Amino acid sequence: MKKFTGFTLIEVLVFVTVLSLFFISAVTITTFSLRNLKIQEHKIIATRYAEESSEWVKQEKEDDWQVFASHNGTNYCLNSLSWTNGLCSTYSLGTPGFFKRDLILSISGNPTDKITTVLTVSWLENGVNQNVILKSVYNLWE
Amino acid sequence: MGIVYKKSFTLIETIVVIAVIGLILPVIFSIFFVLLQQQTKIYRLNTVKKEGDFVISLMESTIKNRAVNIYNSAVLNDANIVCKGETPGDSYNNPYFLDDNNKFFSYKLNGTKIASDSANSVDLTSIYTKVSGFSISCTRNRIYSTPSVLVSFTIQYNTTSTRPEDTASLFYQTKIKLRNY
Repeated sequence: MKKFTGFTLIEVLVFVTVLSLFFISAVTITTFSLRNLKIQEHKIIATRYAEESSEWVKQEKEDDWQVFASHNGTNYCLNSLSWTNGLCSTYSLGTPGFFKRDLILSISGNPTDKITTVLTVSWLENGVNQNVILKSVYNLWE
Repeated sequence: MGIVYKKSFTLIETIVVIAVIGLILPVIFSIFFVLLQQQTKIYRLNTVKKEGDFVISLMESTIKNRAVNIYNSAVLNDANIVCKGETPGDSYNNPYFLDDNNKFFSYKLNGTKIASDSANSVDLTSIYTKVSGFSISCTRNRIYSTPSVLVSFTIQYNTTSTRPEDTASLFYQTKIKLRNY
């Protein structure tokens, strides 16, 4: 007479292990891609902020080269689109404040005829620093 | 021989299994839901940015390269010229631009879309977005400087929902100098 005895402990253990491995990997992949999507979202917004400040710097340049070239400090904080000395200390850009926007100037020529700017919009993503960088060069004669 | 009972799950076993499934399924579905929501948000943000970038670059290139003078209406009359810079901070809202073919063009808000208005009106943004706070003005500080045009607007995804997960909004602002003034 054939007797059905059910599953053995080993069988159940193997099955549960395989199943949990599958679930854990699925959840890991999903949360990873979710985090990437979140970074992507912030990157789109950060790019907009970077372009906005790049426009602003270009206007400053076109308005008056002398005034523009008189900013001989190296680091500026452009969170509020005004010349604020020193790099930003707070992530106050955006609603709610999440980004910061720094400008690094390097001046060359005497009198100044070329200014290189590096705009960095940065934010913290789960404690990890992320940034979008825009570099441009401004010449007196253009 | 007594009665042969068929082996089966006890009530406790069944309850435990259902409880475990009941714990795991909501977690999995909520993760997928958030994932889907995030994808929608990125899609919306992308649409908004694409349209905003298009409008701002179009306005910038047309106003910068084609505008030769600024008027308060689409009538070619010297009395209608504005932003002459005769007084400091001379400015005018919603101006009309004259191009090098003596044709007028302007940009205005048509409902919730930005429209370019020359011979006929053309919407520059789609029904998927709505524009608010659109402002265009020219300023000129001195008579010997070229006027500049200030443009700003907020573009957001066209949705009735106000939840932050569903909304996507970007602010655009630029200042354009007339190159051929």
